[in-house]
Amino acid sequence: MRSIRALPAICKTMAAAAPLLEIENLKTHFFTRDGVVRAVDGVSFSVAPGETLAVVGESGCGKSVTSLSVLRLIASPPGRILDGRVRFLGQDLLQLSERKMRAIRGNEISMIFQEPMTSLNPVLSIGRQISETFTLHRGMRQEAARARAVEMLRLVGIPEAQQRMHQYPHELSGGMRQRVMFAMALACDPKLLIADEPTTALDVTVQAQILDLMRQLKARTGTAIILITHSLGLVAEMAQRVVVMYGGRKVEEAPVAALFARPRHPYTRALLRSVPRLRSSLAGDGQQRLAEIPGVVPSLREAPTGCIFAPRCAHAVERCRQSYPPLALKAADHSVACWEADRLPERTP
Amino acid sequence: MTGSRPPVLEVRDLKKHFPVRRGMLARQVGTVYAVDGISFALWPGETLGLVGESGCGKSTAGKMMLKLIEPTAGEIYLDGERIDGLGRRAMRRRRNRLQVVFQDPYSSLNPRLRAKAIVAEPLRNFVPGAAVDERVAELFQQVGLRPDQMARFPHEFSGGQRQRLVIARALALRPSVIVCDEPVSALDVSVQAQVINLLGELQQNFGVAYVFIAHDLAVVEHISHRVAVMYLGRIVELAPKRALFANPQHPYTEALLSAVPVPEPGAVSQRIVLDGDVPSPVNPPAGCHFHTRCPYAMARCRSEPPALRELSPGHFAACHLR
Repeated sequence: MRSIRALPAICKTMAAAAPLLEIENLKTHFFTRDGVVRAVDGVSFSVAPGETLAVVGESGCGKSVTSLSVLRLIASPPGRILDGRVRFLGQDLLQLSERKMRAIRGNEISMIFQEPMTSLNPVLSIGRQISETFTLHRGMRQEAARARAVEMLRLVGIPEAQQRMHQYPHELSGGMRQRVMFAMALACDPKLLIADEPTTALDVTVQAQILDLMRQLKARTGTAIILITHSLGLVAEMAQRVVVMYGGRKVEEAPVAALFARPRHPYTRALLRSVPRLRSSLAGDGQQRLAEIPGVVPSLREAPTGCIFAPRCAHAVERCRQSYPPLALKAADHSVACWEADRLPERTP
Repeated sequence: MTGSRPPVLEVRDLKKHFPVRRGMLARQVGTVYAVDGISFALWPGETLGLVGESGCGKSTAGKMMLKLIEPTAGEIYLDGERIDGLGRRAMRRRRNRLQVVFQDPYSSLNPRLRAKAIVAEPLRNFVPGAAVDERVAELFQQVGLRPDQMARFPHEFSGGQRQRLVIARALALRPSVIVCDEPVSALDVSVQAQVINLLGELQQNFGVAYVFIAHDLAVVEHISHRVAVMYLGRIVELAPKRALFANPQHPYTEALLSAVPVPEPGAVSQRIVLDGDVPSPVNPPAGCHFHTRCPYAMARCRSEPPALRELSPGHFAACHLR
């Protein structure tokens, strides 16, 4: 089986359409005994219908909290969404009643997590778990719901779907479990699928199967996807647009080709250079050092003065330590939050 | 690299089979063939990468080399001396030459000891009364930790710094081999590079050899001199890294390499997507373990296990097609 590549031409026309989801100045903080953690600190971005947007960053950058905030799945206390709007098809999700919100979760917006074992109920058969989606959101009778569940299992490429209905999560392999998660998530034809590190827990050959599946399903259903990941390889392969997050903020946003060809934030640049690439040893001679980003991922406990990346940035100047740079548009659809963006040296690839 | 010096570590036909027991009488109902006959040599100052997917036996192999578990069969040689039959006490005297770095630095460090005591512990065990303080200070500097961090406890360090601490401890006795089992997988991308560079630097300065066990092919390629690919308890391919990455000979290696997403949008990839999952090591398929997922499998592959053969100098593969 050979994989099919997504066509970038379709995406261009889609980006022009009205956004499906619009996040505006989202602030989600956690009020802990040790202080306030500013997990998401004023993040804005939007997703067009049918588009795949990647949100990339390291652990603690706020990418998962952002997506959990969209679905209002933040445990409160300690978490609280302090500010912002999350407009989905014209309505602000943050203003909806819990009842209305429940009608959206798993129906119009669904989510897939990293570890399928912890997202599935271990004491219910997978058939029951998938058909539940239909009885809840579509008001179907048991029989009809189970028939649809079998269909969904077939759609996500699970062999012997009928027999699998009676199996429990522990009887399936990691890859199969993640397929079940996709079956559940896509059961109600969601307009938006949030996939939070969907392949991180999987082996690389199984990851390839799941990515293939995601592409096929997307081509079939036209669901928009927010792909949350730390893997730049996944971003390059799956996304049309990319949001780079660091320390609870968006530091760069660009179409995928532009981001990889000309990253404009020092953090994005450093990140791209610090990852070893496959077959890179074939070109150079002997072992080369990887570009390091000195220091550690910042704690989000203290309110930052200035750019949050400044302490690790090779290009930081006094101004960076004084005030936080606003996002500025540098090219078509390419914005970056860096005072020095225009003065960075030309990148050597 | 091979030269005339003997290998620092060598394993011959190493096997580890775990019994599967069930029921009240704990009757053996099956066997997990975790490692099923692997052989390789590690030369001084060399890094041998050991890659494969979960359950391929790479970590079990690492634990056997360290003598943390006893092999079912096979031989292990450390600096030319056979160590697989040695008892705990006899082994303890040789532990200074064979050290380890695990994936999760936090669970490898005693939370009640200060950083200084952690690094000093192996020194106190092996070189009593020696200039411990001096050596600890030296190690701190070599792994890029500050002297003022010596009095801290493990929880006060970040993940990357903890791994530096683990590396300092492993390095303390100037071992000839360090087995690194997924040493950077738990670290953030931006910190990974720091630790990878540190390992490379230490090897250049002190000539330590690494067995580098990892699932990330790009990381393994970056750090290794030679790479062994494992599948269901066996080595399917072993070659100098450039030969392996430029010209993989085993269909599994080929599929594995093609499955890695490349951080280059629009990169043309001829991806080979394997069907199904890795079969269970409890009842591995007969013949070549890979035949159930191999796009080129033929009748012979289903019955006869292929031997690891040298196809070109230093490049071994176990496949009937080659």
